[in-house]
Amino acid sequence: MTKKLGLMFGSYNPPHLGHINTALEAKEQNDLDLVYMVPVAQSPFKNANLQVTFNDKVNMCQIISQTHSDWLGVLDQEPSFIWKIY
Amino acid sequence: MSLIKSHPSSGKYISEFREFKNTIKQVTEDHPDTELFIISGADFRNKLLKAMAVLEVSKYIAKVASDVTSFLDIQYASSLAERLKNACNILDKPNFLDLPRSRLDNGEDVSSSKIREYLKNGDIDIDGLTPEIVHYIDNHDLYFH
Repeated sequence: MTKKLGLMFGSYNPPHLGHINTALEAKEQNDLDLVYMVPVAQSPFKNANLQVTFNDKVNMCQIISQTHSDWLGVLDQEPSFIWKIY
Repeated sequence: MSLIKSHPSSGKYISEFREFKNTIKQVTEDHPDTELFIISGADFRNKLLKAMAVLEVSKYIAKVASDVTSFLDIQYASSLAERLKNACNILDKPNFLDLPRSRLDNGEDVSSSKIREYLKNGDIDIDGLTPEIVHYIDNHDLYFH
């Protein structure tokens, strides 16, 4: 049976419980099996905050998602994901 | 092609959003029996789709430019037009879900930017941050400056 996976891109700078509630709501509203938080090095629509590294964001997302590991994960393959909109 | 090349932002659009596309491709390959959904706000979605379209269309324009003699072939031109049309259909391909509002259990709105403001002012007793995250922020001296 095909699983439904949601990708929640964001700056997660820092991740907070609102992100968890958002992911849970999206999961429940759309019958998703899994949701991955996808931290990006820099959100394309926000000003740069160079103080926090991509690894910090990944680490914090992993920490905050730990207690929901049955349905929430972290995708950490965006090492040079610098987006800008002109 | 020259129009696209000469536009100051086109190259950036293309290279930056190619990363997004590669991510989606990678996840699709890693999860072959999975239907993929992108959870995003409307603003993010619209800009993303615009950039993805630029990338796709540019690719086909480049193909025409590099193979201009074949373009004289009417069959080739028809097939190219069809492929270009299909490329533009990428706008419909990703499954997008609306991003629910970011709220705490008590219904209050919460945002990372507000939290950063609090942290910058030295406040660590913040609704929405878990003790483990506060500990990480404190240990790594993030946001306090």
